[in-house]
Amino acid sequence: MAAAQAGDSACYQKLLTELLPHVRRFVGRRLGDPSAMEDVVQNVFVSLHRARHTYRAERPFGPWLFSIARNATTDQRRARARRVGRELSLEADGVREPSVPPPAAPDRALSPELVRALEELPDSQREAVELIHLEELSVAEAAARVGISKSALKVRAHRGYRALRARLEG
Amino acid sequence: MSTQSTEQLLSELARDLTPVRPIARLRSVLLGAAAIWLLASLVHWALGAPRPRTGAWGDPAFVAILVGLALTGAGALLTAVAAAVPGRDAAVRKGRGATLAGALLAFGAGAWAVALAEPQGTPASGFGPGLSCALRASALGVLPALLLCAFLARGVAQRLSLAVVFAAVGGLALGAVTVHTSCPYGGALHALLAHALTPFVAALWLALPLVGLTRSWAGRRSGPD
Repeated sequence: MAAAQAGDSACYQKLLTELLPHVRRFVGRRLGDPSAMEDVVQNVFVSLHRARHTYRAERPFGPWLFSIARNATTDQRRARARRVGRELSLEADGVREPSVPPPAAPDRALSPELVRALEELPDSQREAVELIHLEELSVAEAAARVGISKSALKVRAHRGYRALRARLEG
Repeated sequence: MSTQSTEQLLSELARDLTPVRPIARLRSVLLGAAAIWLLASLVHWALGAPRPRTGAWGDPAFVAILVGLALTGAGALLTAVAAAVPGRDAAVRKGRGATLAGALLAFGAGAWAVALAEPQGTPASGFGPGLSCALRASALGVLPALLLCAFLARGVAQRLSLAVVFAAVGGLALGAVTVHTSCPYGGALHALLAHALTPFVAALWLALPLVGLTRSWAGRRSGPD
């Protein structure tokens, strides 16, 4: 991990590949829903990537990694509970699935700088960011809308956020 | 979701890798906060604030409130820094325990002193001295709290707002330690309300701007890459 913090991609790739079965086992044991497992495993690795600067070489690696995995699993459980609660409440209210998709969120909430930065993104990245953040779709819904896998959508969104940040800060 | 796409994601993450600077040690951040508090206290005394009293050290309630405040400060600061880093759950639990124990000790000793104090009729000190002590404690405590907020902005706390509240309580408790040792006003009720309660009451209003500031710093950083 220390090599990965220094920017060694090959070491990082090796580490992630070696961790994959451990993370799958950990998530699988804690998650009741096997269909969601791979999604959570991917979230764990995205979280690990974003939190990699918080690892200190003098500390044991296991508690750091499994704390991230535990948080991702908990987030998944909470999100699922919220979704189920929302669906139950809609069913109770007699609300049916709309035949026409809802309109996109209005642009008035966006600053002109952000709109310009969004326009400068490649189409695939802009679409991923807009679906998740402006239309507030879940990753699965956004991926289904675009017709790609969830992981591909996450990668596009991740690159989109990075490019947006670079444009807004630059 | 296919396992193949997970492997594809791992390759993408490795390809996107950029070097990062590891986050500071928790111990260094805690020592930094303590150093800032000590420096602020020295400056505060150098600017003419009341000097530490030596006569009160024989009073068990005075000492118990002081120990309680110090324990609250150390525990709350430990909770805040440990929450910023994954895998430090044990430190978070210890910090919370110390905060609770410190608060109980400070309040308990303060309340005990109030119960034992001779009835004085109309309080001689009034509202002004209490406010003065609370403001001094807040001014002294906000600097270490800001250092912790900067650290929290760089970390990945699951409950950022709660961690900031602990940072505020910890900083203000340290400020209250300085004020408690050098308070020119006497009175058990004053010590309870203006010293032992300050870290918690003042943290309520201080936490809101600190949470906003920390979120803004974290948003500006928004991940290591």
